[in-house]
Amino acid sequence: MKNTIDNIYDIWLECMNSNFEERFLEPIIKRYSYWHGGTSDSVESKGRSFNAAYEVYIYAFFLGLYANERRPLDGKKRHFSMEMKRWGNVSEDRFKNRKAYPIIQKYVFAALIAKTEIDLLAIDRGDLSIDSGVNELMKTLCEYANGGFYLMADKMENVPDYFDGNSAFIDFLHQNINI
Amino acid sequence: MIISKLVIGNFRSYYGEKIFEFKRGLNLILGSNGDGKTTFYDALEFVLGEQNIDSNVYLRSCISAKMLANLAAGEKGEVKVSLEMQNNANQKRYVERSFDVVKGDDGAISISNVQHLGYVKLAIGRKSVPVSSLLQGEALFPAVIKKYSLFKGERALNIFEDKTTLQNLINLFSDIKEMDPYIAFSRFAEKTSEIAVSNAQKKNKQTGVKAANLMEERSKLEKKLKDAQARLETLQKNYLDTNQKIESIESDFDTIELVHSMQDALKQVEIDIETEKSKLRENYSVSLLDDLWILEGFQPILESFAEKMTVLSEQKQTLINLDKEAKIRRQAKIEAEQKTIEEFKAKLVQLPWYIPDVKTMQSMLEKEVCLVCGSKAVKGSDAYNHIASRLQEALEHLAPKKEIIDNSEESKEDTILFIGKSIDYIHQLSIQLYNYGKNISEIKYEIENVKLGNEKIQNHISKKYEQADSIRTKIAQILAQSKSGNDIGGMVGNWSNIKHWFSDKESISVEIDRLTTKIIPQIKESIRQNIEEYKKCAVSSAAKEFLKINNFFRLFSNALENAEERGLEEFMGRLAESANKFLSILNVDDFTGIIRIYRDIRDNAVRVKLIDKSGKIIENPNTSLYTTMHLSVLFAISELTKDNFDNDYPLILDAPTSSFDEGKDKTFYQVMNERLNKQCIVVTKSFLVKDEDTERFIIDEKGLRKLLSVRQIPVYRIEKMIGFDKQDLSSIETIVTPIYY
Repeated sequence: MKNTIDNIYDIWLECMNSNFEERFLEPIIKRYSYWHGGTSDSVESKGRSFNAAYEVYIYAFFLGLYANERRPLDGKKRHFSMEMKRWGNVSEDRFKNRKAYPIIQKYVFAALIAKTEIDLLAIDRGDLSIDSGVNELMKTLCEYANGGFYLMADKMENVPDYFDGNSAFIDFLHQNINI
Repeated sequence: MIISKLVIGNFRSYYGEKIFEFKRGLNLILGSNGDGKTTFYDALEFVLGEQNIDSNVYLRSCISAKMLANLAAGEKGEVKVSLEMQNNANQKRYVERSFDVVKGDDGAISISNVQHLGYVKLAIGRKSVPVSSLLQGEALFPAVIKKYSLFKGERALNIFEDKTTLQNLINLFSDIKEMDPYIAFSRFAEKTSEIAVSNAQKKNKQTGVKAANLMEERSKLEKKLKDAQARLETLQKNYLDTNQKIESIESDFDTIELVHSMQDALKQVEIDIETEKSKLRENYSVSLLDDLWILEGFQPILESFAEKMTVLSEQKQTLINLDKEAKIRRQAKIEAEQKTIEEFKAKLVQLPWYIPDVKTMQSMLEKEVCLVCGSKAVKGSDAYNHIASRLQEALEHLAPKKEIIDNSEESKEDTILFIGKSIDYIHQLSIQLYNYGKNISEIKYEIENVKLGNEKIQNHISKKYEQADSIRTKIAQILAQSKSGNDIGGMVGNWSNIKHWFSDKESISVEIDRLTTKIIPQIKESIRQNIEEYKKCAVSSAAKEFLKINNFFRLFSNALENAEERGLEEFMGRLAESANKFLSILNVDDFTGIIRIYRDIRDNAVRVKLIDKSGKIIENPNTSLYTTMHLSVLFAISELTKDNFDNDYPLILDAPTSSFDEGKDKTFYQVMNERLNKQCIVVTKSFLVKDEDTERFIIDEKGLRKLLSVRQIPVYRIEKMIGFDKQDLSSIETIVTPIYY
C-alpha cells in the first residue's frame, strides 16, 4: 500500500539553491542592490535600485522569461542563502517604505510549471519523487535568471551606466517582452 | 561774506585752469549728468578743507586724469583750487589748496608740496594768514556755518536729521543758554531755604507734628515726582533710540517689507516644491516588485500555465474515472455471474449441493455417465457440464471464507491510484492567479499613467524652480539697487524686531503722553497743595520769614525755567516764521502748507513738519515741496546769521531741485532771483534741454532769458568736451563757458 505525499509547491518554497554565475555578482547584483544588508535611507542607498540582492535575481528571471532567453549556467556559481518562501517579505529594516509582495513566489512558480517538462501525474502517482520535480523547476528558474543576467550584461557593455537611470529597469524589461 | 571767485585747476575733470566769478544773489552753474556738477561742489569742499588733506588716497582722487596723461616722465603738474572771498567791508580774502604731482619713469605718481594757504593781498605782494584764522578767526566762513551753507543733493537739506542741529543753532543764535547758571543757583537757594523753613518749624510744638507729617508727605511726593521724571527721561531715551532705529531703516522700509514678503513667497514656493516632490512616484524599481509591475509581460505565461494545469487536472481526473469504471465493471460482472448461478441453481438442482457428494460427481465425470439418472454424460455435453458445475458449486461451498478475503484485497488496490495532490493544488493555484491575481492587462496603463503623472509633476516642479529663481533674482536686484548702504538682507532677517520697533514707538509715546499730561502734573499739583498746607502751619516768625524767602526762590527758578522754555519756543517760532515767508515766496502758485518747527516731547528732538491750516500734519509731502520746505528753513537760518553775526554767508547747493517737475524748477529759480538778496551758488541741470538732432543738452535760451529778465546774474555752462572716449577717463575734460545776458 502507498502513502500520501506533500505537494510540490510547498517543497519548492523551501529551496535555497537559486544559483547564478559569479561573474554577475559585482557588476550587477552588488551594484544595484545590497548584497549583505544596509538600509534604504543610508548614504549607500544612493544609486541602488533594489533593497535586496534576490530582487535583482527576480528581475533577471522575469527578464529572461519574457525575452525567452534561457541559458544553462556556466563557470563558478553562487546562490542566495534565502528560501523562496522569504522572497517579498519586507519586514526587515532595509525595506523601509516598502510593501510586501509574497504573491510573487506564486507567479514565479506558475512560470516554472509552465516552462518545465515535468511529469506531475507520475509525481502524484508516487512513481516519480517530488525532489526530482523540484530540481527541474529550480533548473528552469536559474536558467531564465541567467538569461536575464546576460541580457543586462550585454546592455551594460554598450552603455555602462544604463541601469543608473530612474526608469531603466522598467524600460529595459518592457523592451524585452518577446513572448 | 560772498564768494567772488573760484579757480579750479587740474582738479578731476577740470583740466587746466577754469575760472568762475560770482556775485551777490543767485549764481547758476548749468550742467547735465557727468558734466562736472558734483566735481564743482567737491572742489569747493576741497578748498574749504572739508576733506582730510593727509589722505593720499583722497588727494590722488583729485588729480585730473587728463593732466596726468599729458605729463611726461619726470614732469611736474599742479592741482590747485583757489577761492576769493569778499567780506562785508568789501575786503578780499583768499584761500588756496594745492599739491604737486610728479610722474615717474615707470608711470607711478608721487604727491608733494601739499599746501592749504590763506592770504590777504597787499599793495605789493601778499600776507599769509593761516586758513583757520581766516575762516574761523575772521568769521569768514566758520566751520559751524559751513554746515548750513554747503549742501550736496536734496537729502542733505534736512539739517534736523542731525540731532545736534538745534543745540548748535541755539548756541549760535540765541542767548537762552545764558540763563542756565541762574536756574542752577535759584534751585539751590530754593532747596536751602526750604531746609531752613523745616528746621524752624520743628521748634514749634503746636504745629510741629503736622508740619513734620506734611514734610514727610512732600518728601514722598517729591520722590514720586523724581521717579516719574526719571521714568520719563528713560522713556524719552528709549523713544529716541527706537526712533533712530526706525529712521535708520526708514528709507529702506518699503524695500525691507518687500524683500521680506518676497522671501515669504520664496519659502512657500520651496515648500510647494517639496510637496510636489513627495508626490513623485519615480522609484520605478520598487514598483516593479511592490506593485507587481514586473508581471507586465506575464499574461501568455499565465495562460499557458492555466491551460497546462487544466489539461493535467483533466488527465488525472480521467484516469481516476477510468479506474473507478473498471472497478464498477468488475463488480457488476461478479454480481451478474452470481445472479446467473443462483438462477441456474433454482431451475435445475433439486438436490442439495452436497448430493451427490464431491467424490461421486468426480467419478460421474470420469465415467461420463450420470449416476443419479443413469443417462450418458459425454464430455462437452450439457449433462457433463451440469455435473461439472454442481461439482464446482460444492467445492465453493466448501471454501466460502477464501473467496471473501480475495474480493476485499482487489477492492483496496482500486482506490489508491494517485497518492499525491500536487496537480490539484497547482490547478487551484492557476485558477486563483488567473481569476483573482493581479490584473496584468492593466499594468501597462498603470505604468504609463504613473509616468505621465510624474512628468506633469516634474513640469510643475520646474515651473516652481523657475518661480523661485525669479524671486531670488528679484530679491538680489532689489538688494543691489539699495542705495542706502544698509545691510538690507540683515534687516530682513531682523524683520520681526523691526515690526516691534513700530509698536514699541507707539506704546512708549502713549506712556510719555500719560506721564507728561497726567501723572507728573498731578504730582506737581499735590506738591503745590502740600506747600499751601505747610504754609498754614508756619506760625513762628522765623519760619514765616524763611518761607517767604523759599517762596521767592521757588517762583524765581520756575520763572527762569519757563523763560528758558519760552525762549526755546520763541526761537523755533521765529525760525518757523521766517521759513514760512521763504516758503510762500518759493512755492508760488502751489499748495505750500505751513512749516512748523517744534520740539517733540517724546524724545526732545526738533522736528520740521508741514501742516495744513487745520494744524494737521502733512505726512508725505511731494519731494519738491519737501525740498522747498527745507530750503526755506535754510534761508531762515541764513537770515538769522545776518541778524546775529552781522555777516552773511552764501548757500552753495548741488542739484537741490532734481526732484522738481520741469517748469517748476525754473519758477523756483526765478523767485530766488527776484526775491532773495543773498548769495546762492546753485549747480543744476535746470535750463538745459535735449536737442533732438544732436542728442546733446543745450541751454533753454527762452527760459534763461526769462530768468535773466528779472535780474542779470552770472550763469556758467559746464559740459564735457566733445569727442571723449567713454572708456578713457583721461579724455574727459569739463569745459566752462560763462554766459552773460
